[in-house]
Amino acid sequence: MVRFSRGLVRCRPLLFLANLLAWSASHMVPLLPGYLTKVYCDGLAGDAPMTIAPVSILVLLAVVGITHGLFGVGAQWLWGDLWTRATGLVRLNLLRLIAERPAALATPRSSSETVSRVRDDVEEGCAPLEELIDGTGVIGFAAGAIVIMATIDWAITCVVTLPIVLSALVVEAVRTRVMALRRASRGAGADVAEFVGEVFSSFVTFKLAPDIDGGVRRLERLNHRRRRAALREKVLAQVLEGVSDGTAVVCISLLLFYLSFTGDRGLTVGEFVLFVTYLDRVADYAQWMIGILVNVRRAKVSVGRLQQVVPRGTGAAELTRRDAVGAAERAADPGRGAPLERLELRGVTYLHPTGEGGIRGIDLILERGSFTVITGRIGAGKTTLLKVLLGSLPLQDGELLWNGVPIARPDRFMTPPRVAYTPQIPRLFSDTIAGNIALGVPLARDSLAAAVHDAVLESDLETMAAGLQTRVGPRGLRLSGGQVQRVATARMLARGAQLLVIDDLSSALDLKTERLLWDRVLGRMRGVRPTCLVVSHRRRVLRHADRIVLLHRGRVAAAGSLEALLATCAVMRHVWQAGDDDREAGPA
Amino acid sequence: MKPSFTLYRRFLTRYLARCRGQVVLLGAMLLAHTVASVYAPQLLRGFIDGVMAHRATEQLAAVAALFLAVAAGRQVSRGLAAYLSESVGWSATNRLRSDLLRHTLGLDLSFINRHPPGVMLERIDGDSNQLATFFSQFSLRLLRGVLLLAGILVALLIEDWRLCLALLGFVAAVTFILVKLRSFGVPYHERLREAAANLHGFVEERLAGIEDLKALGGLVHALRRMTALIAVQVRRARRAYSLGTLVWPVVNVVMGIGSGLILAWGGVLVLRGEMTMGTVYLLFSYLSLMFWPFEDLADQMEELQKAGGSLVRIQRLFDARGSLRDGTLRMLPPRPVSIAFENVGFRYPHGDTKEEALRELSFRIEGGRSLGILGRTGSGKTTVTRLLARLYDPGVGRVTLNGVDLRQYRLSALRAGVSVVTQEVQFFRGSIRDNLCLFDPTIDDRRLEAAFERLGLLPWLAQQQAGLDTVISSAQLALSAGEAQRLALARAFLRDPAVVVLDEAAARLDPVTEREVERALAALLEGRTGVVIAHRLRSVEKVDDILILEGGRIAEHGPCQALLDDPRSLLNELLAVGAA
Repeated sequence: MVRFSRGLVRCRPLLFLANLLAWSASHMVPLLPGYLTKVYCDGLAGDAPMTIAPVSILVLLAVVGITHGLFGVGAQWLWGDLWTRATGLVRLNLLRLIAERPAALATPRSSSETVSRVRDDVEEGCAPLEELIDGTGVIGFAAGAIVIMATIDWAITCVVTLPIVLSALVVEAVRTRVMALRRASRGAGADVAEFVGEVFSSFVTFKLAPDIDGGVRRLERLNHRRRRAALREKVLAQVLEGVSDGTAVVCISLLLFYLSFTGDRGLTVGEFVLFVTYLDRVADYAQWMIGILVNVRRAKVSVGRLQQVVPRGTGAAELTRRDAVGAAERAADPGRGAPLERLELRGVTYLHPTGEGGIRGIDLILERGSFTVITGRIGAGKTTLLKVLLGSLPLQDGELLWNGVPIARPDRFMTPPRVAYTPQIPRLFSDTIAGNIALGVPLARDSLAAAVHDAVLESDLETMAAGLQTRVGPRGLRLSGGQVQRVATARMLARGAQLLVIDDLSSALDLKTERLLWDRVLGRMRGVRPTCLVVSHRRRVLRHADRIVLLHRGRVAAAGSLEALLATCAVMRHVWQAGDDDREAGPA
Repeated sequence: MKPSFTLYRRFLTRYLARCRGQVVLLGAMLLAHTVASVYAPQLLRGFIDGVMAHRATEQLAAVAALFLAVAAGRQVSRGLAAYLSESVGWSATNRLRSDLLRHTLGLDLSFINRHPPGVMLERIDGDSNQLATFFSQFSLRLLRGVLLLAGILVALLIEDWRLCLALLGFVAAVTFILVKLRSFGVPYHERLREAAANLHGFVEERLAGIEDLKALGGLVHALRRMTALIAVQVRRARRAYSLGTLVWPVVNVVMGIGSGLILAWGGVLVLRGEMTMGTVYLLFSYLSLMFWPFEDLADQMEELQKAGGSLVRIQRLFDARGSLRDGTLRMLPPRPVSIAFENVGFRYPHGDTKEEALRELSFRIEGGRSLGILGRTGSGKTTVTRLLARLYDPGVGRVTLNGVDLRQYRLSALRAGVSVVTQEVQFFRGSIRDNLCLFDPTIDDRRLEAAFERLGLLPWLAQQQAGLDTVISSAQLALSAGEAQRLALARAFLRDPAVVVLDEAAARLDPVTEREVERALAALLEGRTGVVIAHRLRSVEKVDDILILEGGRIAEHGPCQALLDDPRSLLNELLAVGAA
């Protein structure tokens, strides 16, 4: 937590310093009118010579007020700048660090739940920045007030400082309770956010439900839980506030009782006014101080929640790293690596935490320019194998070798310009079609055009008014399933990679389009043949394969040419027979 | 757009009405707080004058004791009020959240397609949270401030009507300035929140697509774009925090001048012997007492501005009308249900395509028969299912069930009678039961298990650790595409629909599993009217009729067998392509 706060300060040290000065000044200005009033009142009451005339007090207080106001505007401007920069930096680093996790496990619950952490927990986690700045000002005011009061009467001043000390002690005592309540209410809040996010991520499903109120009722239940958690927190906050305010009330009353006995021998009218004015303010500031301490505790909870979504063992300092983009750039480029001659999988294993599915001890060799098809029934582990190969899932056992050299971080290495990928269910982003294909990499016009052509997108683009500049809508929702799949194919082809990894292109394409697409993708191989690793059970694709790998229950059941597998393997014959979707005879 | 007063009033009355009891109690606490706050300085005035007049210790001590009691009462009422206002704030906005969710679920797809889930989350939960703060803080601090100001004015009226009048002018002037500043600041805050919504929408999408982003090397660029979005937020924040929040500095200026005036004027009167020091203190402390209400008002103006922005956006969301209007017929006609498209033309609202998705489309499916729709991607197949499910209404013509326009049915009746399995299978984080029943409590486990059995999913269910209570999610790997597809089928058949619409329902199954599912499907289609869209020609082989679409028009339509027998039919041409 300390390291995190230090990181926040260091992200813009000068801006932080400017904020500190502006806000401290802003908080300490009220000391002045209090003291001026005391001197003035003493003069009026005849306790001291009249040093400030009525007109002067008017001018003095007005000047102080105007200065205070101007300071305020400047301080707010500085704060808006610092706060947005700091939270922005943490959010940027979060996205960078979340991406460091195996991608398929990056958002353990749902992307909206993670967003709620990025949105709210960053806000709360960065609170120490505000508290450092406010805290300095508040302490500055309190110190100033105490010094001025002590010069008048140190004994009474000792009693006056009691509320601050006491409230700090009380907060310290209930610290664990504050944190527990905070965690509960943040958790309940995240549940609500997650549910709302999920409803809109699967909007059509909820929309098609006959009982639309079902989702609303669920939201009501979650809302109710959050309300209860928030109220529990409020009760504790009120008790803490009561402690500090109550102590202030008791202190002023003590002062009154003391003066009942001493009369005007105890304090002059001016001194009394000063004490009561400062005391009120000190009480308010003590309360503020409590708020600050509570917020810092809460921030700790939130920073903890942030650390849950980044890779284990990531230091808090990483969350405030200044050159987030640079760090990501360096991490993304592990050197070009030699051109692919041979990719080898040795004993590759990944078992899902649920205990079912997954792959076990997969051995596989991809030679340069080869076309390998992985096939098998549902749940055989085909997609899992691709994800482990790409680093989307962690390698639990075994190794990957690129030209015989072990790949240390598949998720960093198995990327363009070496490898490109089309998932079974591609995700597009709110952007233009061109933007989705390029993903920010500047593409030559002809390589973009070639990718569009090979992915059979041209005829679709013709029907769209904006062509390549057509916006695809959130998650590509404005395109049809087939169009999404083909945009994703173009996205893969445009990378000019040596190895293409393709997970079942057929799922959203009609036969004619799919045939054309395969023809063009395979046609690409006439030049520099890219190596292909494809999951499919289409006969056309199987027939084209140099080598077929049949997965069964997470293991390689058989591998070899189509003819050999059909001759020797019953499972393969089963898949082949069932896969006669395009009404073909057996292999010629 | 500036939030109007009526808008505030409508929201306050509508969402506070439910928790009337708490609101009344809250009012009582605020009143008690006001009385104690105004009375305490009076006691101090008496005390100062008493000390200066050398009153007896007992008399002074009695005043001190009374002060202690009054101040304690002030604290207690203040704490209770804070609790109550928080409670009211949550109760009111929870209802708002539910209303918003219900409303948006009623909108047609074109609205949702323009707003990413992250933005919708920001609208429904983010803006409601802003209003929750407003509801609780408004009642607590704004009301407390106004009451305190009123209380001070009354106390001064008793003191000296001229003083009261002077202060009234002062309060009026300050309030006027605050109100002016408020409308000045709203747009700055609205623009800032918009920047935040864009940022979080961006992050949500990138997180949801992190696998694609990483595997295709798009992460660095995404981080660069995020940096640009943050820079926009910084620029807007600077303006919103300073120019949008002028109220607080202005209050400081006004209070400085105000207290100067009071002390100067009071001082002159004391020197003339027309006022006691105690009364000068009373006036001075009333003014500093007013500082907090003003500062609260200023703070709350800021909140009010933010809330105003949220309120406007929420109202816009409520104003967004999907073209769907609910019908009145509660029941679907008796089975079997025939379907007809009559001269249907349709163009996607806010779509990017130049052309109409469907043009003068007319066809009919007799009750109990099934229709297979074929055509290239983008030929309008999915649009047909969307119109049939009434996710949109046709622009021209009408879609009927047994001759009755779809628009005449209640949506709930229609959704129960027409089940759609969409191209993209969607699951959310929740138990298997919730994902299938969508929180409909009338569906019991026996019905669920029956649906599982029909789709051959019982063995899969038996493997799940907690049975129907096992949590699945969109991000969960434990669910393969094939399982997801079969679960989606189970979801569709849970309600025993009269019409079944399958959009490429078997697309993601491997051949072996697909055959198993197809057997179940065939049984499920029996006795129902069905529409099947599939790229695999084999799955449409089993349907009664075939419709081939091209560019939103009918290219061929007829009984499946007749088309198969005609060597020149489009269907045979398609089959030939498949075999090549």
